[in-house]
Amino acid sequence: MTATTTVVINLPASEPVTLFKPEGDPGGIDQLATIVLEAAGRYDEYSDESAQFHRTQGWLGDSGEKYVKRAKRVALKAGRMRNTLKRTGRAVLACADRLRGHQRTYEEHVDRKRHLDRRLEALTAEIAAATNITIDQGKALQERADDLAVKYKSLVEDDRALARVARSNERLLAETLESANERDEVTDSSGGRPETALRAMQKPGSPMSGEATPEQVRAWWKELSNEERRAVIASYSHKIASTEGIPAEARERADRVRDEEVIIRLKEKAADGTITGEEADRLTKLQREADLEARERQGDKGDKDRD
Amino acid sequence: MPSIVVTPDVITREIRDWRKVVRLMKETEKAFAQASPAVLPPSVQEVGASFVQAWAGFAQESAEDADDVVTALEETLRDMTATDEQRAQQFTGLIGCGPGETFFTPPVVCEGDPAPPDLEQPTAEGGPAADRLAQRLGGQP
Repeated sequence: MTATTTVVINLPASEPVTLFKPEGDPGGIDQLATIVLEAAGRYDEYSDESAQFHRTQGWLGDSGEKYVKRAKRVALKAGRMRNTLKRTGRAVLACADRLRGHQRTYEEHVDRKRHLDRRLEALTAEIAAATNITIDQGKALQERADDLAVKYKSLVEDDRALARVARSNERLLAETLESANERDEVTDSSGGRPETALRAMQKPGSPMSGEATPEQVRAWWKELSNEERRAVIASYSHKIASTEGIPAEARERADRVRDEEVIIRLKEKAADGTITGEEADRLTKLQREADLEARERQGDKGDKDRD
Repeated sequence: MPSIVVTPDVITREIRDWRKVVRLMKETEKAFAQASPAVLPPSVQEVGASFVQAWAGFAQESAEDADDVVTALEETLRDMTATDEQRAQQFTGLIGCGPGETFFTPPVVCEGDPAPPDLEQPTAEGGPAADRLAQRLGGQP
């Protein structure tokens, strides 16, 4: 008579049941940012023209004085509106970039889950077909099941993390747009700046006042949450790009956000025929650098794909 | 009394530049009006719609502001031209030409004047006919 032993293999569940998918169209959001930055370019032109109006020579007298006053007021208002649009456009561009990254992460999660599900299916089939297995064979099957369980758990955690950063990105985008759609806000220095960024810049050690030492700025940066860092990079890109004490990677990112905004704005002026010689030179230089960076990034991606 | 110096050329140039601003702002209004908030994540679409709608409105207001200046400048130019014409007619009367006869009316020749070889049409600067008027009125104060 042969003794039989039942071997129990605990199989993990395929999870998460539904992967978090970041919503929105990054290309479409880029286009929206382009509309915003092109508008900034037109307000720039408005402000420039108005500034020239109030330097008008050859019109003296009361009417001329009143005209100059009016042109000055208009130049100031248009300049402030341009600044709000620039800040908003930069923040929207940065949000689109992040969303693009989040959607790539989601695709990776889909691939990971598909791969794990295939392995789970194969293991399940193997167990179902197994007869007369030894204790050791049973242990080996359980180890494979445990390994799958660990990988599913890791995927669940990564999926939750993705949901967190994607929602934070959406909040930042909403705050940015909300801060620039009221009449008082569009001519205010806070226009186009999300609350998160404004609050972060009020904290001790921030580079806002220009008086903090690099050490104080370093400590300030360290205390910021990831959401606050993302907000200040997008909304204070000029400041962040040029402040010592902020990590090089963050400064480079701020630099890219700023350059991208300037390229779009100057392209609009070039298309409109209102670009100055100096601005045209700057556009050519920035465009060349951006193309080079894009080619380098493409090269890196190609290397990774081949790896 | 303040000095008053202005030429129609200055006003005309300002009008041209302000008209360009009006055009730029109208383009901006159109671009925002056509922007679609549907590209945004659903949780941001409502605020996105408010944003593009608000900016279409701001751009329209900016265009109207600039257009008001264009209108004021056009009126200024019209006033200047009309005043200049009226004064020219008034001075023509003072010079002694008959009623209803303007300085630029070809057949009129005032007594004692040498017969002009040709009476030129007025130009923006006044031309030789205006120079003669200036000579008759004496030097600038």
